[in-house]
Amino acid sequence: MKIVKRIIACGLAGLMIFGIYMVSLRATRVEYAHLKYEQFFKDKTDYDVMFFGASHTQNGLYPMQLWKDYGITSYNMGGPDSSLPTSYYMLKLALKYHKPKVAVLDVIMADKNDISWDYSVAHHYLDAFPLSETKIEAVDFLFPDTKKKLEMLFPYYVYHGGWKDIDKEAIEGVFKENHWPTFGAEYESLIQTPPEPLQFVSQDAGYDGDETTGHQYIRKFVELCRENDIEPMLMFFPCGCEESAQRAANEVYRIAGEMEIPYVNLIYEEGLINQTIDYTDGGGHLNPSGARKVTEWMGSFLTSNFQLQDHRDDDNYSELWNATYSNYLEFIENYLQESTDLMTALMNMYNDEYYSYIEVNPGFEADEAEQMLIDQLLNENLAEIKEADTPGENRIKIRVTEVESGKEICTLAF
Amino acid sequence: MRTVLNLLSEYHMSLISAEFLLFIAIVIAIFYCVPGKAKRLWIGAANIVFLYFAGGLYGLSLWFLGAAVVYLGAMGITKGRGFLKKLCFWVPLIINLAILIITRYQYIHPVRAPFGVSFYTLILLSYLIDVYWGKFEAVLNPVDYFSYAGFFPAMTSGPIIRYKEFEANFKDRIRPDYKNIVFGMERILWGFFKKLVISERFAVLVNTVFGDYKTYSGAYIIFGVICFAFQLYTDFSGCMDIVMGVSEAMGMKIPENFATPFFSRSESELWRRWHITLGTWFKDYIMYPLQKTDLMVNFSDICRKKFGRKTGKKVGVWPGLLILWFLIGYWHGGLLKFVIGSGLLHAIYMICGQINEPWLKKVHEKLGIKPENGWYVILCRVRTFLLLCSGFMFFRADSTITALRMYGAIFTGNMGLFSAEGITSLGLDVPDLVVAAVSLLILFIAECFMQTGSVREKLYEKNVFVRALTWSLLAGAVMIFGMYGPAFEAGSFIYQNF
Repeated sequence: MKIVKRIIACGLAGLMIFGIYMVSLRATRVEYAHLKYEQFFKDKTDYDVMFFGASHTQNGLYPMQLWKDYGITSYNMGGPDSSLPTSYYMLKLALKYHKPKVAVLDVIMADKNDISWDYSVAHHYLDAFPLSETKIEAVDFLFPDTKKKLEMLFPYYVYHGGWKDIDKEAIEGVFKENHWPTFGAEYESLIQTPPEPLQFVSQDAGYDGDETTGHQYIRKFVELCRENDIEPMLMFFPCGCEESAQRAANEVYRIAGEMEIPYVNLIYEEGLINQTIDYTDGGGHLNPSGARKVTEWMGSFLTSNFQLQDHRDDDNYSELWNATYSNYLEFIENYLQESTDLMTALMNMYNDEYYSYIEVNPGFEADEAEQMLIDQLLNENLAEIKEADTPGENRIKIRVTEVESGKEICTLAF
Repeated sequence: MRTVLNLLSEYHMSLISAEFLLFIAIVIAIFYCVPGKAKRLWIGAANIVFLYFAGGLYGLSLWFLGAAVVYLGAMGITKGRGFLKKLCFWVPLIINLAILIITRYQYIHPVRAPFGVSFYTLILLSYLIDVYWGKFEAVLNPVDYFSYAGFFPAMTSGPIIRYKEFEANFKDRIRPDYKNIVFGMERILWGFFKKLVISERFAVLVNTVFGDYKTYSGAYIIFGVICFAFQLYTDFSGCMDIVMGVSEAMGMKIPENFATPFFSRSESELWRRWHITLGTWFKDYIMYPLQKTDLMVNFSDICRKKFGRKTGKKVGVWPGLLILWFLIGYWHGGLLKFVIGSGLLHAIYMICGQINEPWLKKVHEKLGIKPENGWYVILCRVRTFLLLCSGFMFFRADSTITALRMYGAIFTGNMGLFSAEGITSLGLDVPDLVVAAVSLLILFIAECFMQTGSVREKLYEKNVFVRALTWSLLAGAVMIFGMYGPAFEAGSFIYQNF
């Protein structure tokens, strides 16, 4: 009887402490990593494609669009400040849960020898991954400071201090799981034209010097893919970056040739991106308009060069993916409805799920970027435009409808 | 495995760390698995590992040097006679004092003080002196000796354990005992609560006031020094709780270092409740032998003749008291501020207490004040606390001059502390201040209960659910409100620096 009482006492205390720990962990943790990866851990089926890289990847490729247009299942594993060694370890971590047919690596930061990762950014990534031997290996390699290593492996050490910020939303979040319906992609509803046209070196402008750490980890990434029967592919997003980064990216042609793997540098894909309207931040990261174009290009390239099946009629995939797609449409509709200016609205309207009726005031004059956005919609038959009979209090009024049902989504006026 | 070892090899262990908890879990688990005689060997191994990770090779080497010369010296004392016996006593004594003075008191020579040197030196010397005085013979078995000489829980900040106290734990076979293990864990948890939830919070307030006393003058300074009393007490006693808890979990008893000192009614009582083992060490090895010297005996005789038997007896002790407290103050860091704040000031208070005792007794009798009256007890406790704080001003200030200036700055009339932003301008926001206040209240309530016995024993008699809930909530409070992690970087224990 005494022993039973002791076991109950210890068990009860252990359970209560564990309960307090779990509730406080979930209430105080940084949600970003979990919003991004929760779905990754929940899914039981493997993906056709997984995308790896830095924030350019995260903003620049939409798995939901690949599903809708090509029936390709994919996950966007890209994240901020992610160096090539980081992407290598992200692949290693990801392989514990899913094995894709194709792994695509963005080779931005190929010019870097520095492997360290800003640990506050890293929390937005790694915290969702449970503790494992691979995670310990990754953290040990990527973080030089011992204290930082332990903080990455046991993030509660960092989070618990956020108890003062716990609010109703945080408490609700403890008991329900939430994730983006984007399969890892981030939808950045911003638009900013570069102050000056982006300058790019010529495609044959190579890299002087030894192979960098970035280059070495491109090779390791490819080798890891091959060890796991995954077809590797390399790419470089169309973005403004330093000349050294561009030259290092061009060096990847040689590496890709040696390793006999496809490599596409989208800087040199003529007419793909419109610098004026396709960036969130003046030339670094793609906005939804630019990301849709790159995703479309990627879908076409993947179906032409790899043996990927169209799963749209496959019951093993269609139920989950179609349900998520509905949530995705609602998700991006919120951004559309919350557009605070004309350019943002026109950018968010660039989606073949929408058909928009644009009414402009007499004498309406669009600036260069606005006109390009309107022309983009008109050229792809995603909108029609007319002049109002009488002037109204707004320059322009837009009624956005769903293509399939004709249902009105929202009316915007600026 | 290689990666885990890599991580461990780069780390310096602190008592308030998850790594230390892991370390003691392993040590305790294996301690109970190994057979009787091997337990001491295991403790010895744990001592070496802890000293290495806490103090590096440098700290471990200096400790070993000090401990080894005492071991050999003690054997020489037991086996030798006459001059050899004295040599075997004085050489290890001088070597250990030299290590302490050279490394600890930096103005002599700027050498880094090895981890725990102030504490383990006293532990080693107590062993050496006890052997020299014939209290027991030297321990021949090096395992038995080194398991005591570097007993890892006590290396950070004490307590200063005597050999016989340590040895008594091994008289009977140590078996795993549920109550010992549970009580030990509860005490460790209590120590973490005091250090991480209370002490670290008060440290923020104290650092603000003492860092800029010209801005935070007047009432701020009084508030600051009171907060320092709470900070120091919860820091030091929290460390002791962890140390005691580890020992208790291993079925071992080591002497207490604190006995609810803020409940003391007089200076004398205070120093029987605060840093107990330091006080008893200096009394047993410095003051009492000093009192027995011809010089002091003669002085006592002269005082008795001059002042009468009763008063003369008191006066005769005063020089010894002053020397004792001078040395205690000096032990803290060799600086004047410690000599005054942790030493001579308290000796003076005790002497004044003895001088005033007779006429105060007459006043109490005339006014009908009984010593056990509730309000009188509270008054005495508050007075004793404030006297303690007066010394803490010197202890915490950068120097004696700064402490005196801070005393002067109290009279600027700055009452900003009581304004709307007053207390929140000291570095803690309202939620943290609430946590500080509530946790201090919890501590106070617990210590009130301690006046009538062990709180853990009382809780142990409650039902399973109440016990589990109490300790879970305490663990939760440490996990959530503890000031650890990159946002806080909880400091090492204050007394670890000694």
